[in-house]
Amino acid sequence: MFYLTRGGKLEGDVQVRDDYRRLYQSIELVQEIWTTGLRDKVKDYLTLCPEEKSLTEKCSLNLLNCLSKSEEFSKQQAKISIVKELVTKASHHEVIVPFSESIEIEIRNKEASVSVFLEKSCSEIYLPRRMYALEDTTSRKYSWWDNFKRHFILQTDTVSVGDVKRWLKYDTSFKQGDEILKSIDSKLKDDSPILNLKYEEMERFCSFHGKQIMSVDLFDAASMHPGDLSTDRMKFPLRSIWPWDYKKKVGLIWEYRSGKKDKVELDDCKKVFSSECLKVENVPNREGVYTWSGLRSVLGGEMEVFRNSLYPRRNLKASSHYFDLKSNWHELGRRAYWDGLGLALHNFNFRFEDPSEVFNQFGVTFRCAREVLE
Amino acid sequence: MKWLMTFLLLMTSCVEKSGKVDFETSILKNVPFALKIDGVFPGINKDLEIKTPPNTWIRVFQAEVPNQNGEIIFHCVYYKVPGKEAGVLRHIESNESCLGNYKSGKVFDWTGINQLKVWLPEFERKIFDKTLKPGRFYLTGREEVGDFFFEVPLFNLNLERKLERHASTFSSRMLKGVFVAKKRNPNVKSQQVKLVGDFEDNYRDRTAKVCHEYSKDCKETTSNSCETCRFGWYSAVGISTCEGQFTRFCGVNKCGQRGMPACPRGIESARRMGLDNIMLCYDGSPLGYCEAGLKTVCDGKILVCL
Repeated sequence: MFYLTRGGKLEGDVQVRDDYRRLYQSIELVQEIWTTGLRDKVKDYLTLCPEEKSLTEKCSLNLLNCLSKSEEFSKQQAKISIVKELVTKASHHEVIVPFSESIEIEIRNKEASVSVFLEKSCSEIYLPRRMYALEDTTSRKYSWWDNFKRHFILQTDTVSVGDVKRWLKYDTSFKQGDEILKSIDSKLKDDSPILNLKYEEMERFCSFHGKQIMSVDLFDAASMHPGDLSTDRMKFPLRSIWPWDYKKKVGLIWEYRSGKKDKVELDDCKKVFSSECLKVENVPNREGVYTWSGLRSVLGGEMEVFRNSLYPRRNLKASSHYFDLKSNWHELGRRAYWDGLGLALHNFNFRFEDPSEVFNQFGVTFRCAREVLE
Repeated sequence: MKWLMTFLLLMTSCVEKSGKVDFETSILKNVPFALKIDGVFPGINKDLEIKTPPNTWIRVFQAEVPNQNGEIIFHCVYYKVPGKEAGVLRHIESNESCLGNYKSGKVFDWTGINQLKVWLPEFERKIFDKTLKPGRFYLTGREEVGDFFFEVPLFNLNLERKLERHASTFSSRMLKGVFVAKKRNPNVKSQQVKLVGDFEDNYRDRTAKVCHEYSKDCKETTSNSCETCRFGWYSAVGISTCEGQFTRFCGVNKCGQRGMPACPRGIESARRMGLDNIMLCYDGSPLGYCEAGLKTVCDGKILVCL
């Protein structure tokens, strides 16, 4: 609508001003959708993406894609176009504060248009500042580390096939990219964990995003039950073997080991995805329980590699679907060794307990973490 | 008659002074992208109408805004405080700082202003009014046709954030995790951030680049540029004798390995293990830890593992 000025003439700037106002409201809406999914205040837009399954997912690129194609959304709000799916420091122009990872979109309302950078931080947690135990649970010694003067942000889940595909699309200086893309099973969905990278390729993935491969210190800190949360300076370190309690003789795995339970059921697989769960139908995912800090995939599911600065030959979370629920590997802080070079049995050292079945090839996943400055 | 009244009412509500429209449009097209706001006149306080000094131009703020080519353009809002005549709000756009200039550059005036109050993001901790949201600036006051309320988002200013358990890890701005920029001119090649370091760089080979460093007496000798590290960064125990002052390197963290930096343990934990209270970097210092079988050694710059 054109407004009249005092002189009675049509004033085009009024239109421009109102276009910008509308555009800024749309940015607020897109941010709300990005950080919460289509729920709460923005659930009215649910009908615009009838085919989309990840409607309530946070930081969902699929959802943005859907809204960008919706004429109704353009009419009601503003036109969204996705410019880049992964913006790292390498592709930033100089005025943009370097984030570790974000999506660049363009939002346009008539003549008014802007570039909007949405950080992809929905699957990250902040590691609370406190003292943590340093040694692994099989060691008799113990010592401490603390993060009172540092800030760590950890990925809640392991890296997915889709994450790796996006990385390789943008990391053009990485020569082995094509080889890796070819090696990824085409049947795998984008949200499946990536299982066939070498350790150095994992390091490259994390560092390309300005992060480091997860260390055992950070992983244990975020997954072992802290006991008393009312103090951050405990007298003795707690090195719990379960994420759900600091006591040893409690919980699902203990019940199996002690003979209190003998049949693995759906609910058990939702907590720890062990080898028995391969035969259980309708398990929604393999991530298992959340820990006190918000981390997932800490027991069962896939094997995961870490950087272990203290004992480099104990770098692998063997707790996975390769072992049954009674296996000793299903404990926090108990780690096997992976040489990071291949996925055959000879690339691993499971020390006291090999998998009961023979596998031609194993899979190992990983996740990243980053330190931030305040 | 009823129709005529409605028409007249509509006309009145639609009439806007061109000065006001130009002022608001030029502000809305630019200031929301500001990276920095400064130069606020000390007398500005959200609770008080600006009355003094009368008949004088005071600066409300200066905003530094990147244009479509990525160059910083300065935008100032000035206010001529009412005396005998009503006040004037002025927006100045200039290639140079407009901190001391209320005349030159592109000028947009909004005249006939009285009872001006200004709210800036730095006042936000004091805001209790629910209509005022954090991270924005507001101008309210009175003009001939009635009261006005002008809201401008400031998308890119960093706000204070509290990092704690289950806290959001998004960067804290007006809209968490969102940065908004003018659409770049496709004909102008953007200057990339100069990124530092290679994937293979490491401390043992003397190829690791320092991105933050302190001297023994706690002075910052290399200011923090770790956000420009191409392949991430990590902390090491440096020679500073002050708590929490790390030396930081660009690259992949290999701490704990032979010849590499020791992994920082944290000062409170190290104290429990007998840390010297005066020196932090010394041979055998528990402030770092290494692979089993290696010991911490201070090489004169950082604590390493040998």
